[in-house]
Amino acid sequence: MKYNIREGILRRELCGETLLIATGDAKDACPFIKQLNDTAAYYWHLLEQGMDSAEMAAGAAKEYQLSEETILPGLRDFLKDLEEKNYIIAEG
Amino acid sequence: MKNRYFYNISLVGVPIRIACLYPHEAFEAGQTDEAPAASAALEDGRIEKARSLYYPDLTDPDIEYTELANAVGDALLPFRRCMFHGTAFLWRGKAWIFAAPSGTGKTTQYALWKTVFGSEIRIINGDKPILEFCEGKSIMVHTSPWRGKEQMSQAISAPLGGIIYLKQAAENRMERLSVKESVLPILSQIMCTHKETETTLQACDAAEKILKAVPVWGLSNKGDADSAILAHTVILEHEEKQR
Repeated sequence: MKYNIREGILRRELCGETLLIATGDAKDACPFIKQLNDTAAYYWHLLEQGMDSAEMAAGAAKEYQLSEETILPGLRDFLKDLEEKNYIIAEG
Repeated sequence: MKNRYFYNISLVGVPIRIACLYPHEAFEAGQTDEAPAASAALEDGRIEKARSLYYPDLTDPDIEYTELANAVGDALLPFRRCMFHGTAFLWRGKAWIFAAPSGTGKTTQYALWKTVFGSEIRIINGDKPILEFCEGKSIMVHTSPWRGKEQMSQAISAPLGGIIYLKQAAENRMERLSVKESVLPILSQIMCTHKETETTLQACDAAEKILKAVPVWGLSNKGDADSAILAHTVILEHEEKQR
């Protein structure tokens, strides 16, 4: 599944913490700020590169030297949470 | 409706032209003849859109006045200043800020300090002080026309000593927050519309400067005198260690 990042969502590092901040029209659709842990920040980086969920799983498996089966539940939860909060929009 | 009232006020040396639908006594003082360096106004329909966020008995002029704080916050950010949501007071030569979402007890905690420690402290601003980012890590705290329901404000300024982020709790407890724990509380209290990416980035820069310059404590409290005594003791110990 491919996802698009909602327009107006800004990623910013602040004192080593990764934040998603809703600006412009996105403020009405999403929580104002979301703080990402290291893994979530890495997944967001993959979304920014335009990867679909399968590519993200493969990339994360290689990065963390884990099987895709191990990666998938956490990745799905991450994508589900962000989609429910309107930070990302599923394509198709 | 079109803006009919215009104020050119100097906020910590920055002349800002504020355009309003309604007159606001709070903007009468501090007016300047200097050419404005920035402007602030609400977008069309903002009062109607924001009404659901406020208590039903609040009037449109009250809503406009409160909403303008974010617009003025935007105007200040390019000038190394920001408006911060909190109650700022002077103590031992420094400014200290109680920060928290509205209704959490900032004014209550200040009132407790005033009751217990009286002449040791003086109010700077009861609702939205302006922080000025000076050379080095120094941050000066100044008052602003946004003084809170109790209209607490004095024309005194002081270097920022620290921020105490409040939470209501069943027991009193105070601890130094890590940067990770402080990021959201501090950024959330910087007044900004976040309409434009540029001002959001400037608000983040301001938050980063604050976090690198001063300690942030979390005070979970019952809203009683003991919580004020606890906070006073913890900060005093910190100050003594800095000597």
